[in-house]
Amino acid sequence: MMLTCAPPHLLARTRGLLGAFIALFILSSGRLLWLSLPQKTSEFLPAPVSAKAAPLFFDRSGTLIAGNITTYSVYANAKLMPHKAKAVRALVRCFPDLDKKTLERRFESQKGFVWIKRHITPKQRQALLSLGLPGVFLQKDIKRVYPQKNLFSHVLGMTDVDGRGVCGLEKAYAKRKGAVRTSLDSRMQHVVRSELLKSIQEFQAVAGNAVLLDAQSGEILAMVSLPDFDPNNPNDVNRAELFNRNAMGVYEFGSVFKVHNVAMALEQGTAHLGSVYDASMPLRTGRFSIQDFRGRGGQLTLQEAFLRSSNIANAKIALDAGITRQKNFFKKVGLFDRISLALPEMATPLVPRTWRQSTLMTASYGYGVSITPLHLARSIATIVTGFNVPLTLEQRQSQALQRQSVLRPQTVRNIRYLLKQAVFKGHAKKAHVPGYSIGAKTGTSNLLSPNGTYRKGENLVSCVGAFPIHNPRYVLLVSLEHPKPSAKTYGFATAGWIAAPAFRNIFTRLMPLLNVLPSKDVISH
Amino acid sequence: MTKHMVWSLGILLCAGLSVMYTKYYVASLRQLVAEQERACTTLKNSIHLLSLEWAHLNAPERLEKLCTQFLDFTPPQNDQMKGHI
Repeated sequence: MMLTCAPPHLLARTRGLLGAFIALFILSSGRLLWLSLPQKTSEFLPAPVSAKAAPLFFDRSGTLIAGNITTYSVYANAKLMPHKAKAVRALVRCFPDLDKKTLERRFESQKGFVWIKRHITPKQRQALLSLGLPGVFLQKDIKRVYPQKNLFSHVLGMTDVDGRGVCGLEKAYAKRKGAVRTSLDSRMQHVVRSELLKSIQEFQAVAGNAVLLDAQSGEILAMVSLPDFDPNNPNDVNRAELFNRNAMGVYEFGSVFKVHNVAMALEQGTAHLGSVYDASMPLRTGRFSIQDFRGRGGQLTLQEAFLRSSNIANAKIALDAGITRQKNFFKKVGLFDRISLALPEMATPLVPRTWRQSTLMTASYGYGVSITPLHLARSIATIVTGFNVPLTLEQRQSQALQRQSVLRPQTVRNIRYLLKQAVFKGHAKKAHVPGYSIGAKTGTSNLLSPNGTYRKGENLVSCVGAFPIHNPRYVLLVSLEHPKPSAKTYGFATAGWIAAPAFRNIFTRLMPLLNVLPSKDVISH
Repeated sequence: MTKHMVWSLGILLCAGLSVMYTKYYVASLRQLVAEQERACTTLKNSIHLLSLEWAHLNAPERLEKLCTQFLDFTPPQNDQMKGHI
């Protein structure tokens, strides 16, 4: 109404002004709408590097055994460095372990990205920042840390500088997210490692290994191979230290195989504890002669042959059973299969292609068939429990496990009896732990050289056994390579003098950890 | 017409302002969430670092060495076991 009364020139101005306001308003509203729409914006704060690059490993009691820490690494853009010589001098002052010439060469290359140093310490980072070098940058990085150092070296393996698993569980679980609860126990692992180390030092052995299994659940509670390495310093590790004897080493274990041989005869019904064998004369096969370590045995029952560890009698036990039965039994207790375990480096047993009469006889006392210590420990667990349980390095509930019975209860009872007798009367006397009923068998064998000949005087001494022997729960195998005789062993470098005491020392220290009380009955026995 | 236009413009203005307010409110909340997440991650990393330190300090080998050196402790013998732990 007011507009219609106004003069025409004013009306035109007012309309123009109104139009301008409306246009401005529409523009402002449009801008508001535009701003309110979701847009590609960067995060308000840079996301921190999460320390979960590789899975965390825990032992069975929840102790962290491998983790990650956030560190910084230094790199340079050579194109952005105005004074390269000055930068090199400053960097070498800051990181004395850097090589001056290498740095100069790298910077001369004019590359846009050159690593200077990985995983620096917070102190070094502060020193570097205070230098204020143009073209030198810091990048967040993740470093793998093993707080127990050497303790789990062969099982866990290690990672390279970029955090990629190169061996052990680190390699096997490289792509796994989250945490891994292993079956290993830090305390048991330490006991096994320290006692094995003591024995190696005492008898100047070249190497040694030990495995502790839970025979009911198949869990590996401790697994040690010496010499080992510190996975925190992957650059200092040599090939010999990397070798995991328990998984990669294949050995002829000698007399411990008599457990398998006797179990085979008892299981197949070709012998019983009272069967008699003549061990008075060496047994000839082709150009070889089978003899006993401790002179002539005379007429021996199967029990005596086992306790005296007679090669002749055991070869005769095997001859009575025959090749097919022996092969079938060895297969049944898992001596021929590659063990299915998370570790990527698992060896396959070395078994002769053609199983001759000589193989039958030598295999009866532990030659001719080469297996890993894990194979031996697993097969002993099968023989003393009667069940075949797959091994694992992850924690497992034994109640939920489907166990496959492979041996007759009578065979299992007889073998437990023989193993117990071997500790009281046989060569494994030094494996006896007062107060506890342990069954064990020792074995001494010649080590093979790379060209396939036996190394004279170089032995592998082993002791394998189970506890408690009336209902075995734990199986322990201890082996030492090339131990030297001493005055304490009366010049012997045999398993009974070297491996059995190590076995006893380990179990003596393990018992309190396993919360097992000694029994007066066993002490008096 | 003019009255309707004024109302429409008013509503448009209010809508624009409320959208702008909501957007900035959400942005501030996002910033808060990001800060909280960052604090959580930093805290988790610190806890993880402490777990590693704890594991290192309680490493059986280290404890055994310290016990032998300062406390004259030795591993328990079997005849010392009188009851379940």
